[in-house]
Amino acid sequence: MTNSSNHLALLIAAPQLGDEAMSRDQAAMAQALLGRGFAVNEILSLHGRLDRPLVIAFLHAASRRVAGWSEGSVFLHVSSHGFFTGEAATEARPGLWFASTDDVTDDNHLFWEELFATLVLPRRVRLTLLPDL
Amino acid sequence: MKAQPGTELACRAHNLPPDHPAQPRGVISYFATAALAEAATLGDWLARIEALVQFEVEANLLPAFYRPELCVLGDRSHAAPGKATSNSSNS
Repeated sequence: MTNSSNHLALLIAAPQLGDEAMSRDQAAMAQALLGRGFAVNEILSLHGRLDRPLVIAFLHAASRRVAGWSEGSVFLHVSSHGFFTGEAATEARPGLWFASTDDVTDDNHLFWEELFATLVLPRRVRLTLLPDL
Repeated sequence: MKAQPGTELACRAHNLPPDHPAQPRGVISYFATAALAEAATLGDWLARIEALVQFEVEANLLPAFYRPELCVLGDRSHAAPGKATSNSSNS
């Protein structure tokens, strides 16, 4: 275990119309984390019809929450649909896809590189990511 | 999931099959949440996920082609989120 008691869980679920699994996955993860000693206020959840501004605002809020930490850990669980641009793995830009249409507009997606750039963590705060998409 | 370099890009995440008793759940999240309780490290967490998957494949609860191909990108010895509940050693 880390020596720090600072820990925070960020749970993002971005179901599209008819998706039921993601909300159940998020609830199960929250329950599992409570069982692992996380307090209720150490689990931040974002769920529903998401878009880029919502997810970015959520990540900014998380960044503010940990900004003063000298060390600690952040766990990020993402349950979403995914997409990518590019024709081969070497040039692919993968991301989260929020829309239920094929119209990948600016607000309907977030590249992983943008997510990591938005979630700003202090140098000694470790990020663990579990993507399910 | 991790695609091998040069292979065709595709999304390979599944939900549990319709006749699975826990559905609707995503395969990765289902096994990850089930395996987390006693995991000490990220490597231990992955091993427990793989063991649960193997058990369900052998029990015919999960078709083999639903088996997730997971890996730890980073230090497998890092602690899993939170604290293990029992029967595991801390890193």
